[in-house]
Amino acid sequence: MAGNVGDIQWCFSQVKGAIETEDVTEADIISCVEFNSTGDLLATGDKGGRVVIFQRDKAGKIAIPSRGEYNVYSTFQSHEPEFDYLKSLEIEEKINKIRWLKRTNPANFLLSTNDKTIKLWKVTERDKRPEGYNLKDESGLMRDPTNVTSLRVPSFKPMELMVEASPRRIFANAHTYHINSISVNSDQETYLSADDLRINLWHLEVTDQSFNIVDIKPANMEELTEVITAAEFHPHECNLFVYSSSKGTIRLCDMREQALCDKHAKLFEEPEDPTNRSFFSEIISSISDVKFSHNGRYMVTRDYLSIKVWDLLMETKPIETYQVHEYLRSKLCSLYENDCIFDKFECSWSGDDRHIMTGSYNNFYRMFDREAKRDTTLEACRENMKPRTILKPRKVCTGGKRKKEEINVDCLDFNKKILHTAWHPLENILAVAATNNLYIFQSKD
Amino acid sequence: MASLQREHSMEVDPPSGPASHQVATSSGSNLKRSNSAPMINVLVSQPEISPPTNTFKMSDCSRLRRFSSSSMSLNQPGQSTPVKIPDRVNRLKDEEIHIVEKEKEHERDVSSAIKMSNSWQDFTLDDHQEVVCPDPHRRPRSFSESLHINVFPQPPMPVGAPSPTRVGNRKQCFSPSMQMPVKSNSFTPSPSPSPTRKSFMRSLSPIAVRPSPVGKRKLDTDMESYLSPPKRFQTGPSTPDRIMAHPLAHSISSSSLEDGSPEQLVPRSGANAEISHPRPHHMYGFMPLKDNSNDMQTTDSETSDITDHSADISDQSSISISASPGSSFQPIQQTHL
Repeated sequence: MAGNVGDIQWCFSQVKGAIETEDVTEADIISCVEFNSTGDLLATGDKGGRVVIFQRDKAGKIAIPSRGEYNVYSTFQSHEPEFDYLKSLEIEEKINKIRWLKRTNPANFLLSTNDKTIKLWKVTERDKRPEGYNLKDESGLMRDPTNVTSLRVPSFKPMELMVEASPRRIFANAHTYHINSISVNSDQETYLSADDLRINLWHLEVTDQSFNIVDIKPANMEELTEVITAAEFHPHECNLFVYSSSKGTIRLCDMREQALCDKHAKLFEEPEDPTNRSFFSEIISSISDVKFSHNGRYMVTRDYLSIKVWDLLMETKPIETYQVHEYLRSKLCSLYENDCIFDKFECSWSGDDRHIMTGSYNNFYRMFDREAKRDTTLEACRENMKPRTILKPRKVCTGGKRKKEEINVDCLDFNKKILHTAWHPLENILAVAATNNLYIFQSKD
Repeated sequence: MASLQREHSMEVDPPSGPASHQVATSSGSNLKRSNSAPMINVLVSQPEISPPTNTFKMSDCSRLRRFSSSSMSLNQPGQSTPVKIPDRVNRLKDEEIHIVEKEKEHERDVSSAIKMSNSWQDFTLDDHQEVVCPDPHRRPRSFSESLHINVFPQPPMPVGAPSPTRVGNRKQCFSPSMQMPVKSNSFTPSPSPSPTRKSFMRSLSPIAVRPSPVGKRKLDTDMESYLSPPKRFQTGPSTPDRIMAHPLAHSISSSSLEDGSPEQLVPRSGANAEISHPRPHHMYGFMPLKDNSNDMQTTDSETSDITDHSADISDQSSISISASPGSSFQPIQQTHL
């Protein structure tokens, strides 16, 4: 393979979903994507409140080179639209986040949340069915009891695999504002849920109580200046979590210090660059996503134009900053007009923490190799679906002279945005949600 | 203004609606214009909001925009107007501070909607004994009241924890090999299900299924021609769409586009492969299994004939049935999550 070690060559693997036509039904728009801890299952949530779980084809996984495609394993309706009578507000059924629990028994568990309610779902397989009832015959009709002359014990016979999803816990009525994040603790017993102003700590067994651990609501709402945008537990330390704000700060909190973690243990904030200051500085500094690295030493944050890697030991500035789409800086005004400036992009780490990736517009997504200091832009589209064909990197030009293969920044489609992405925890497999389609990319080798 | 536009030459598609005035002044330009302060308080959408200094507060600008949006459409503050205010800080402030005005507005909406729905009651053709002489002032019972639920404003659904009869607490089964949701009846504890019991309706609550005789005409035509999933509360018409395979079941794989690579096809010779391979050729439609959709049709018509009384029974029976599979079938697992 030509290229440096670690240079990933990406190929198209699969695309799920209907062809993008002019009018995409809004309920099909994917709103979150999440691999489970082994990467065998991939869950997506959509605006219609449904969850679809894909399972990796087992046989393909052990093939060399490992292929393995994802096929639909289960789909269920997680949340329904609701109405809050007290506040006269509709509660959307859109799934905001899905988080998997680590697997401890044959069943799989995941948490899914909409704006107000979190549900714990148990996903089990059933491949046996009892047969040989006494009162019922094979087709299910009742048998005449007088005709029954002997008794038999029903036995289990194999049947076609069925996947059942049942809600095991419903955690409701704990959030006044819209839930934006959930995060399972490394102890696998507790999890946090964060809305705009508060973070609650739950125990998976207890649905009628939760502890409030962060509350940034001011006494007088006129003084409100920032909201919580994302929160996550540390992958190994069960007492640490971070939350990011709309002002561009990240706070690390230690639950051992006090019950209410309003006072942060560390505050990560980069001083603003005065030369870049503009009317929109505050809006674009709002952090849309924060993720810990797998080794727990770093975290990555995504604001509107850039993606930053922070060392948890250094609060003053990030150790790495990468520009995602700097060419948009001069277009901020128009992006404010069409509300794109408020888009919340997610970011992901690769399994070895060497790469980070995030989405952009025009169905582009960007990946940054932290070691080789290289970045790539790829497009999630249906061209070039031939197997083992390396995807061509895309480039955006800003000036007048447009090279061949480049696309002018004014021709970008701002309705095609990639907000939700996920990287397989162990392999180089990407799941990218483009509106109502789910793309899966694999590395060539 | 013209010079500024030339400077920036923005061609990103402007949205339609009142927000299409190009607010070209405020993006990082050092052009100093005197801040025409009175403009900030005028409830008209003004194109020019020039920051006097670089420390112009973003929140002030948003406030101006909010005023402009509310002057456009007083009825729906910030909901479906062209100028949305997604900025959470200001939206929260707005919600909490102006809550009184919003309540008043909503009360107005609701009371006019109730008036309209009451006027529909005069057209009731059905003569259910339970609902004899519908009293417009009597609050309808939530579960069994078939007439008054679906017209206006929205079917009453409990906030937060759903009742056991609702879909939320039922098992939802899916067959990966058939790529279809299936009924979960492998362990029906009763030998034959009660005929009045509504069959498996995955994405509906029993309340919303029952169209009122008044709105029945309207809903029926909606159901027939309904292709796209619901707006928020019409969970009735959504059924045919949702019970079909999820759109993400349409799949195109690069390996399926390969020309004869046996080492890749063989491992997936199971049922899964058979489903996923033909799919690329049916990109535009996915025909659900006939019996499944018929199931839905009969169920819907069944429920519209069900009287309130039997609906009560069926609700109760569905409560008991949904509880028992958990208890009788897998007792061990109850102690686990």
